[in-house]
Amino acid sequence: MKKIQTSCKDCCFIEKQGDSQIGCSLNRHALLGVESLQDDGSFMLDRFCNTYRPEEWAKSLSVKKSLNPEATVLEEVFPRIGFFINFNTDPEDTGEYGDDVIVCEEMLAKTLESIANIEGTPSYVIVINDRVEHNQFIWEQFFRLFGDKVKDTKYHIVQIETKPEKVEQLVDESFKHAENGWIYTINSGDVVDSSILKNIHNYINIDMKKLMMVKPSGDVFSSMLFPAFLFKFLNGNKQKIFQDTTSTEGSFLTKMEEADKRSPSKTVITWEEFNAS
Amino acid sequence: MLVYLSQFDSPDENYKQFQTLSSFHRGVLDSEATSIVCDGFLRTFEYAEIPELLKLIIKKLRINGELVVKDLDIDLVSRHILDQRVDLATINEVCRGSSKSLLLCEAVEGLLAGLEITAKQFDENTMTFVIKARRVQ
Repeated sequence: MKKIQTSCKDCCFIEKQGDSQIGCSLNRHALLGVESLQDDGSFMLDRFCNTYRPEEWAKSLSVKKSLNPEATVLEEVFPRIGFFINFNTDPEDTGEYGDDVIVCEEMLAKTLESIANIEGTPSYVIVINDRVEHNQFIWEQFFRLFGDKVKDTKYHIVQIETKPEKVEQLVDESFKHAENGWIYTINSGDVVDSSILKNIHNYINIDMKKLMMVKPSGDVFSSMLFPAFLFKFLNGNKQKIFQDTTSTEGSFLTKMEEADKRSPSKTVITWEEFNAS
Repeated sequence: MLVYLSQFDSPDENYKQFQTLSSFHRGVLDSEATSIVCDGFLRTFEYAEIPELLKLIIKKLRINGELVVKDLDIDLVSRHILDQRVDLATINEVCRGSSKSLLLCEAVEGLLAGLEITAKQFDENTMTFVIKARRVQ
C-alpha cells in the first residue's frame, strides 16, 4: 500500500537556515519522521501532517492569530466529537437499580450531564430510545443542557420500536445523524471523562500517535471511540465490498481488530492504553 | 534592520521582506528595525484591527526609526471613478492584491500616536497615500 507523505515545501511553519529547512516550529518533523530532503531544501515527512499550512493561510489570519500561528493551527485541528447514547430503559438488568422509570431517566441524565460538562463543546448528542414515554424527559434534558443559549451542540432522538438482536445495529441506525470527527458510544448510566477532547487532541495532534479506535470494555456501547469516516468507509456493521470485489463481513469492531492485526503499527487500543499515554 | 512589509515583492534588495504578520513578529525583535515600509499591507487586515496592527509594527521600530505607510486611498479612488478619469482595467490594476479594509490617509495618520509625521503625499497614478513618520518615543 502506498504510504501518504507530506512535503513541507512552502509551509509557513518551516524553520530555515539559509535555503535549507532545519526544523518545524510545531516540531512535527521530529514526531512524524523525515523521509528525505527535497531538492528545494525542504523536508518530505514520513506521514500525513494535518498542520501543513501555506503562506496564504498565514496571510489570512487576524492580528491576534498572527501573533501565535502555532496555537491557531492547533485550534483548527482540535478534534470534534459526537456521542451515541444507548438509553437503557430497562435498568433492572443492572441489578443495582430497580425497574423504575425515574431511575432509568436519572441514569440518562447522569450521562448527558457528563457529556455537557466535557471541556470543549460536543458537536452532537444522540439518544437511542425504545420507549416513547421517555421522549419528553429526553427533550427536557436536551434543552436544559444543550439548548441554543447553553451550548452549540445538536441533539437527536433515534426512536426504535424494539431493541435489535445485535446491539451494534443501533450504531448503524444512529450513524445517519453523525458528523465528521470522532464518535463516542456509551450506555446510559456511564459517564464521560471531562477531558476526553483534550486527551484525544494530545494523543493525535501533540504526541502524533496513530489512533483508529479505543475499544469498548464490554458491548459496543461501553465506551467505544472511533472516527466517523472509518465507520463510513467500512460500511459500519454491514458487509463491505471493496473495489477489487473482495468483501469483509462481521461487526465494525471485528473488522477493526482484524485490520489492526495486519497493520505494522497498533492503532486499535484499550482505554487503559489510551489513558496511560 | 530594514523591513519591507508587503504582499508584493520588495523593489529594494536591502530590505528584508515579510509577507505575513506572523513571520514579521517572529523575525524582528522589538526596537530592532531602523526602517519599516508597509506597502499595501494595512489593507490586508480588518479595519477594526488596524490600530492594534500599527501598535505592533511601531513597537518593532527603533527610536528615530522611520515608518513608511503606503496604501490605497479610498478617497482618491472614489474621485477618479466619479470624475471618470480612469477605466475599469486601471482600477483593477491599482486595487490588486488581497484587501480586507478601505483606508484614508487621515484615518491612518490619526493612528500613528508616538510618531512624528515627516512627510505626507498622494500619488494620483497609483491612487495611494504615503505617510512617512519617525518614532520619537
